[in-house]
Amino acid sequence: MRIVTSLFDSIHGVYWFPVIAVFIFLIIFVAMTIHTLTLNKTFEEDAKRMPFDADEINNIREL
Amino acid sequence: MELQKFYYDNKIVRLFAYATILWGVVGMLVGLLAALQIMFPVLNFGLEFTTYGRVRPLHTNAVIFAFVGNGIFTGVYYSLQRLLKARMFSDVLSRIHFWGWQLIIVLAAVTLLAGFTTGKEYAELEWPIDILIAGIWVVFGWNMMGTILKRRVKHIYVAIWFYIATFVTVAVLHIVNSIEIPWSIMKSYSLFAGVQDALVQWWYGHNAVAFFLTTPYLGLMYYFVPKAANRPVYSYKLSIIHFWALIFLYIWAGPHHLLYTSLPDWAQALGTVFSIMLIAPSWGGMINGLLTLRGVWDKVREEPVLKFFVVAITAYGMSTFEGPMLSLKNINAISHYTNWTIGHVHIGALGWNGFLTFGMLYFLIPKMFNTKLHSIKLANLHFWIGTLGILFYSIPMYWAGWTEASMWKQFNPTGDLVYPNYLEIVTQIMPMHYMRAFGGLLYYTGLLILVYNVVKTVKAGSFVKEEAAEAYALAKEGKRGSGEGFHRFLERKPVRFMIFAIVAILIGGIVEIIPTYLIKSNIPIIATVKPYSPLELHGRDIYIKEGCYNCHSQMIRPFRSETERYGEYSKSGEFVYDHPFQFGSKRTGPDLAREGVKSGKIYKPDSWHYNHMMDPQKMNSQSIMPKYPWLANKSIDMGSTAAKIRVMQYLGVPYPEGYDLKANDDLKVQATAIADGLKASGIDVASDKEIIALIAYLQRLGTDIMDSPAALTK
Repeated sequence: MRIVTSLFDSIHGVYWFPVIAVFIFLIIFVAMTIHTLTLNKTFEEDAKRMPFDADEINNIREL
Repeated sequence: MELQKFYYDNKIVRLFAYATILWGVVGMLVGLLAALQIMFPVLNFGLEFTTYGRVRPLHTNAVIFAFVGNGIFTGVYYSLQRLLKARMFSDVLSRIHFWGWQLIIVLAAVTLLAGFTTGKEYAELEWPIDILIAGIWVVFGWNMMGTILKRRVKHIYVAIWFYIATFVTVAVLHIVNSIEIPWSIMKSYSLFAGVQDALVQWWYGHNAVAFFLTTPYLGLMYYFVPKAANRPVYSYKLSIIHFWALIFLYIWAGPHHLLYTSLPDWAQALGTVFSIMLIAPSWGGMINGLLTLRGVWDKVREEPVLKFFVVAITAYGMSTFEGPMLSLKNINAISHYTNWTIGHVHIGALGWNGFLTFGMLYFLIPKMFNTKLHSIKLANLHFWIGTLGILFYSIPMYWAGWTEASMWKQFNPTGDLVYPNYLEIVTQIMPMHYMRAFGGLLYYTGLLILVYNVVKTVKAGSFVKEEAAEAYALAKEGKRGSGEGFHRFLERKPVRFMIFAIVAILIGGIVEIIPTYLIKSNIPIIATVKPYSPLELHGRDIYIKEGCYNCHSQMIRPFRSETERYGEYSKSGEFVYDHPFQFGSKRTGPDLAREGVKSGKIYKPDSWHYNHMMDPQKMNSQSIMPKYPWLANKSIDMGSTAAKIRVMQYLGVPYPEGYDLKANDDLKVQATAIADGLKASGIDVASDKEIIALIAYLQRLGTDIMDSPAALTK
């Protein structure tokens, strides 16, 4: 607890908190982007059709 | 696998749809009244309940929480059941949610007009209603999560991700920003003070835009646009990236509402940086929405529903590009406190929220009533009138904003302000207010056309209360299978999904708010800053009650144009006893931060304040300020002084021990001195009247450091 308290004693170094947060975000963002690029094509197509009922699926306009 | 038959509950959707339309009609009419009051002060009617300072919060609360709020619930209750192939978890919870939300709206309308306000924009409702909101919001979330858990579809669709993020984030924002200590059954003081209160408030305020006006509507877009276009969403991959990036980044952007204020620089910089980063996920959503329509643009020509959706998504794209631009400090220096912000906000509100709601209503009402829309022509007319309304509203507001900023900042060759008289600037932009009101009238006419069209459609159709559907029961699936991607796994684990969403939104809030609150050097102590006297405290509460913050800021930015006009720029240490802060966000009238500084540039004697509050137009015929004659008749509520002082002491304001019992003695002494001074100027008013307290407060503003040059240099 003392470590946490001492972190907030002074404004010096406060900029590290957002920098660390952004760094974590960027790592997750890059990992997520890679992950989505490798998504299974069939699953993606199924996921895109979720708002449609079974009887509507055949009538969906596709390009 | 067993094929199960069940029924969608359309009754709850119909209730919310009707409430959306009703509150749209009411909220926008109140907005129109507020617009007219700026041009014709007589429309304040000389009544305390109908003054601009109370009407404007009623308008913002009505359109955000009543019109848009009911619009969200209409779309969520309709789409959630169909996306999950399940009836809502509990009909009872649905009804409690509906009636509870309408009760909140009615209570909000009554209390805001009665002057019960926290003085924090878009969070004006007082503590009993705050508790009710939290309770009803939990009912909504409980019902939604219950439905998700009993679904018949394995994966949850992207629209539902946005609904989940909305539920958890609004809960967090509302609870943190509403932490307040009551001093009466209907009044409280914010736990936070000054700069910290401002940061928490705008963390809430900006994310009310993000998680009440944006994320649920993105969810609605992901359901209704594909359905109306009969085309699957453009990219599921893009939706994953833009969802997580959006909810993580949005929460940081609040401090861009406080640029060049006395908020610590590091927090301001965070607000700017994350606002710029927000363009990417915001436009990811816009691109996904618009490209869903590729290949079906021919339908846009024919279908009014799609027309509304296209303009809504375009407006979303425009405002989410403009927002980050306004967060750049050099642009914000021009736009902040001006009507530019009003124009920006209404592109989002009228375009994105309004048009998406209208499109959704035109889509689902004929479906629920098993008929066709009464008139496509009228819906098209609504579309064009509404679109013109948005343009007539926003363009004059942009023009007004640029004009105001230019006039505020213009110096002559000798280094003096060209327009030192604030009223000159107010008068200059009056034609833009007329055009804005015309735009609002056009938009409102469009809404009335919708009402007519919906009534005729409802009459012609036959309501399907219980819509039959069937789906296979969902087989229980446990651990992540081999080859199953992490996000795919997460999409069938809604509770885990919700926890991840909570973590994503908490990071930004924690990093911004906790250091500002805990690190003492964020807000340097100024020894000469003292707590308000009891009379000034009452005056401050009257200032808040009358909604003065709607038109007057109390924050002088460190620009020469502002220090020349108002005096020394504001310091964070000046606001440490301000529960709540009153920085304001708009200058319809001048800043008041140094109003009381006797040697200052804007000082006026007590008699001026008295006469000005009684009849501003008598002081200057061009003034647009409302009259406040009741302040000379209503007595100060001295019975509440002790409770107020005790709550302030509890919040850390250093009144002496036992001062709550002696405070009224000091109050009377100060009030008598002001009343005697007024009498000497020929004004006979009793010392226990509210106007005396308000004058005391106004004359206190900005004096703490200005009466002590040593404190200033320090």
